Amino acid sequence: MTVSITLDRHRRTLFAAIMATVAMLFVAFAAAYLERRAMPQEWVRIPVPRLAWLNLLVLAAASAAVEAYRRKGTAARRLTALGVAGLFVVLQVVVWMQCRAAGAGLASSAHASFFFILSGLHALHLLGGMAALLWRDGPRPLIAAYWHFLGFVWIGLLSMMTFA
Amino acid sequence: MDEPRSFWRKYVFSVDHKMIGIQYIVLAILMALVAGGLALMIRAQLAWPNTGMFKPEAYLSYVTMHGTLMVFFVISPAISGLANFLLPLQVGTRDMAYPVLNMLSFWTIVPGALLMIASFFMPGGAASAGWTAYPPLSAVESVNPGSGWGQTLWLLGMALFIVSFTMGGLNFLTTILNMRAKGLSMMRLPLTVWGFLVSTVLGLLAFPPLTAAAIMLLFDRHGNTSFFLTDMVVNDQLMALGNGTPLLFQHMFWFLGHPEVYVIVLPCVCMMFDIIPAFTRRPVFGYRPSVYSLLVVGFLSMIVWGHHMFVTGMNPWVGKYFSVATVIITAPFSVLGVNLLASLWRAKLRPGVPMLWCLAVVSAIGFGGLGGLFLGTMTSDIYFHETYFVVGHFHLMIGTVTLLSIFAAIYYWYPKMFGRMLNEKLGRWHFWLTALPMMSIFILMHMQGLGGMVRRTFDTSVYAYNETNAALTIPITILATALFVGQFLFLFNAIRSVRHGEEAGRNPWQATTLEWETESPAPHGNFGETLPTVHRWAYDYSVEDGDRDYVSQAAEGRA
Repeated sequence: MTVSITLDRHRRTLFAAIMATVAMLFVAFAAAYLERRAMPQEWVRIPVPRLAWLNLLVLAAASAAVEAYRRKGTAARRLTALGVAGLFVVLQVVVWMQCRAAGAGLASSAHASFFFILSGLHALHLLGGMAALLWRDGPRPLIAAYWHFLGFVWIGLLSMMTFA
Repeated sequence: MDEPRSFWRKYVFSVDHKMIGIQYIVLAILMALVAGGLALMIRAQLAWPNTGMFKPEAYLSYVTMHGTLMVFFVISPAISGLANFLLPLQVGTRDMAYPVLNMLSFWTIVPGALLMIASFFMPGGAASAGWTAYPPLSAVESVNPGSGWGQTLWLLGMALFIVSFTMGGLNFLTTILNMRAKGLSMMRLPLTVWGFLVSTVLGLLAFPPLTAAAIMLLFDRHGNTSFFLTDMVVNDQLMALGNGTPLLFQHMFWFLGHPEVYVIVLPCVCMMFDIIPAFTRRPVFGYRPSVYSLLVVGFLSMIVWGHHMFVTGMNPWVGKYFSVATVIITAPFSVLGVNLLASLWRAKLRPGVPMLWCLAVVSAIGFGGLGGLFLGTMTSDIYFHETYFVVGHFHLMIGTVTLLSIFAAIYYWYPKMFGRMLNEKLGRWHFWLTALPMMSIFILMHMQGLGGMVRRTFDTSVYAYNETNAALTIPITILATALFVGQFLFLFNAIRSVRHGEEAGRNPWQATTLEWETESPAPHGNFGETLPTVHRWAYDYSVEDGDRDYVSQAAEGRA
């Protein structure tokens, strides 16, 4: 009994530390974005497809599905969460294709580079969350916290890249 | 916990924190020989610039790799090694929270180190854009041959280092926060543990921005983006590289680069607080103020990075801010230095080699800190920037302070590692052959910097005004050679004493902290059947307890 409690405590500490590190990574990118934008060099923005914003709803749904899985760890709820998350990834690929179709590429401008790299990193971040969902008896509270964190990070980044 | 029996499980892929600690220290020593050798090549070129021994681009790659290896593959692993060895012992537990992660952390930094060394044999040579890897030097091959394969391996090596550091740091953090012995509250921790804690948190928060910068640099190098690159003329040809700005990289680099100084300096300074009382036989001065100052220094270190960039044409008001913030950091850091001094004030010192190193560390902090004031002040930095004053200054802080304290720590804790003492006489010779040349070299470099001698220059004799500075160059090179040769005394001593040193016993220094409660060398699982319970703080010296003048943290009785 005592052993499992300590393990749980270790996991929480480890999780908090990893999240702080990941948060700093995104904060650094955001700072770089804002700083680059404020510099005198030319700043050409590419239009962010509307689908990226619609996809935010899918991400919110994924977060809700993970939350449901946290409350009750059934296989059905786990697979639902995985499915919704998968849909987000598919739509994100469509977003990238739309950008390409509109003539924007990785190297077209600093804004475009930031958009592709940050959305790509977010997608990687999300695949990490999906990997955690593949883990059958994973620590559900931590997995849920990871998903909510991930959602908030993306709301922040997407708003920044659309409006700032 | 079963004790491993096979050679591989015990000495190579060990999950025992003590063995991993020793492995890290051995790695640091091997890499120090490489990085020290590079330093000698740099010094040879500076002393005799016209012999054609090295090509200019090779010289730049030696400078780059000397810095990179010393910071990330010598000092950092040496500190990780000490942290690995000491943390579980000092917090009174059997191992790290995640022993396998701990093993992985070591076996990730090893290939990183090998990649760094391999980069010397790549076409174009090793990376030569400086340890700061500023673009375009680190991105455009026609500007700098080292920015081809050499730089690629450099980036890969650094990536492995960061992964290794992060794995180690997560372990340190979890172990310190969750696995302290019963009764060991945070305010009873030895300052060594506090130092490792603050340093780990700083590292975990400061490395991600460097990772971000490295990712962006990779895209600039291989993905055609232009975050940091801009159109420029190279060899009379216009290169269309986009409209980015290298300044962005500098901000991101120094956001890591400055805290990194504290990542390696703070634990070193903190170890002094645990070694000194064993020789003064008194509690350290100002434990709580030291802890609080440590936290303040850690925080401030993350918001002063711009003082590395005063001459980049930044808005003077921004420069003013960074200047003021930098000078403010002097206050809490001085509290640490003054507390060390006060701990020594009118003390009757017991003789001992670790003590010698501690005294040298305190004076290096003083000298180094003084030079820092001139560099932190924008107006004087504009003159000193890019001169040997800077080289002298940072070598005193992140070279001398760290290396001398690492030696203090090794002489002090060696008995716990191997159960035997290091030879005292050889230790004294090693001390004088290290501390004297080191301090002299870097103080003389301050002099050269005052004379305006520029750094990162293959042949300084091309500038006529350097004639006066040149008088000091050959003496510095001779001192550097003595320093390098002196280290073989230590190597000999360390290897010989494993078998032939004097038996140490449990507590050779009559110290109070938990690691001295167990046998030397500490057995697998650290403490026998039961873990120690802590009854008091870590510095109960100058008390009367029978025939002893100290009370161990774990001793029952008087609170």
